[in-house]
Amino acid sequence: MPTKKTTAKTTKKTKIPQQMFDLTALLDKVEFVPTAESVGEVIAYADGVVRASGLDDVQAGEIVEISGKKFGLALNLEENSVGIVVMGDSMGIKVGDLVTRTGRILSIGVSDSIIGRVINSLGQPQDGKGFFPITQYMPLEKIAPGVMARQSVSVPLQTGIKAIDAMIPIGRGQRELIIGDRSTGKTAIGLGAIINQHDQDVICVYVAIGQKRAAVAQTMKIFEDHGALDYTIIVSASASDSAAEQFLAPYTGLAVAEYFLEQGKDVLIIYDDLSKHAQAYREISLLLRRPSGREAYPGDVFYLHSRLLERACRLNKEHGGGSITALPIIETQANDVSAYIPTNVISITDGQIYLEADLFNAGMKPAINVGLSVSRVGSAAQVKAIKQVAGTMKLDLAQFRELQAFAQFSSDLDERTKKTLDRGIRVNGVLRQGWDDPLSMAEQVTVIFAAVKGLLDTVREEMIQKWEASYVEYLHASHQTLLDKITAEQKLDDDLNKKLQEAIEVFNNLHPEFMIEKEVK
Amino acid sequence: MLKVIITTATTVSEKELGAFKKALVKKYDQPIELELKTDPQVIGGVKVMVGSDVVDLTIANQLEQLKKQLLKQL
Repeated sequence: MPTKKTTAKTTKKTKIPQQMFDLTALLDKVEFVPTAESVGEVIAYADGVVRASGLDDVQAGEIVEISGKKFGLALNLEENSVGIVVMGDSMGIKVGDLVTRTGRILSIGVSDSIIGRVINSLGQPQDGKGFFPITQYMPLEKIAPGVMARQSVSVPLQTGIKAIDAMIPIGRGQRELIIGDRSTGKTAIGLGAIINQHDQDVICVYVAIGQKRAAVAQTMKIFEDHGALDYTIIVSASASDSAAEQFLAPYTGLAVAEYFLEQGKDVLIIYDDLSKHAQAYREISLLLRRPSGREAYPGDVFYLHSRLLERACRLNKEHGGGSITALPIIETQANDVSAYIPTNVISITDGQIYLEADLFNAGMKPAINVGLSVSRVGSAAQVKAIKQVAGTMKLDLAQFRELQAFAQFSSDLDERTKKTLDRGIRVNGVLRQGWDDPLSMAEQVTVIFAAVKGLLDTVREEMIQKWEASYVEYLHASHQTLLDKITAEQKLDDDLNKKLQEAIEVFNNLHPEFMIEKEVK
Repeated sequence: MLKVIITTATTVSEKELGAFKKALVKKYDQPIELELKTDPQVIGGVKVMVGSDVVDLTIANQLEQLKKQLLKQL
């Protein structure tokens, strides 16, 4: 018998690689430890919330295992019971099921290969491309970096959108809210900003909360088409996922962002959108029977968002020098920015981009209300060249808005008013831009330069978009050195000013089809 | 009164039980209320539940551990 055994063993060894199936070696490594753990019992289950008895030493926010198969999050610790939200599928939970502690606080596994992937709130891949290797676990809840680890915002985050980069500049490490009614182009701004990061060395995280799966698939397709998946991670908790998963999604996205922050990288994270996040949290809170406050949101809904957005930061050199820029999105109802969640998030963030349905319907895309939008810290990081041209633009637009309402009543305008209006229309015109058509910093400078210097005043109103496209093309073809110089020096000196003006004049002469026909004297 | 539940595969003799009770009273330093359960599913060994703490020394648990650790190594 012994001889037979050895022969069997050797043939097995030759056929299958040793590390795959040496059972004795595997068995040697197995350790039996008498487990002493704190357990409980399911006493009630309803709407995704388990109430369990026992679990005497469970920690707040700890992951618990329900009957060895499902995971839950212990959120409410009460005198005689524990409130647990079930993550994922909650089918098959019975009264009397064993609930065991795991001793783990929520965290997700990440590595560099997470880039380009779609994951859910628990860090599991959702794109059918299989598991990715995990090198590190990042906690979902973490205290934001302290005061001494931070430095002020000083590097711009180029969104490629003229209206934003020129008037409401965003710096790396800033938190800028995108707010507006449904379908006013909020998501488009976020996606545009991500697409523009292709040459900016920024890792992007897009967190989709409570969206339709079709919309997430479409977003992924857009990223793929623009090559943005090479530096983007999508975290998706769609409308059909449980409220617990929707509640966790932003923290999951942030955990991924912090993994790259630790490497000293710049990260852009977009939460689309935090209104749905607040609603998911409200659902959980009500089911856990926590007292409700205004609009039935729980008392800690402010803290829910403040602790999330406070983790956006720009670290100083000693701490790696990375940054997390956060662009949360909030959907308002009928332009009501004074509702509970919008006011909360407005006060937490460093400014807001305010989108209006009226502007959107009037064909102004992006539909940014420049008067109501602000950026409280971004101007410190704005490139000087843009600052030089945008300074006059704000003034032009302010004058334009003032006169616009007034001019509707009278057709008889004096020459000066007419001129201001014409200028305003053209400056407004160059702010129109397709969301998937980002412009580089130098291109933006040259376009805005033309508008504010009055070189567009002779261009027909309806031709401004065409003029711009053909002008940018012309600059690339004939004056690439000018663009390169602006990119390199980041400011406009007298020489550049002159050359740019000449180039535009030449271009205007070459293209009479864009111009207002001169009256025959 | 501390509630202790002891689960075994087969019935335990009075002698063993007495020793158990003595040890537990000594460890927790308070009177205990003993509840006995027999469950063939545990195969062998003993599972002691004190309050919400469980010390699981059953064969079933060891097999479960074996399964988990083997799967982890693969």
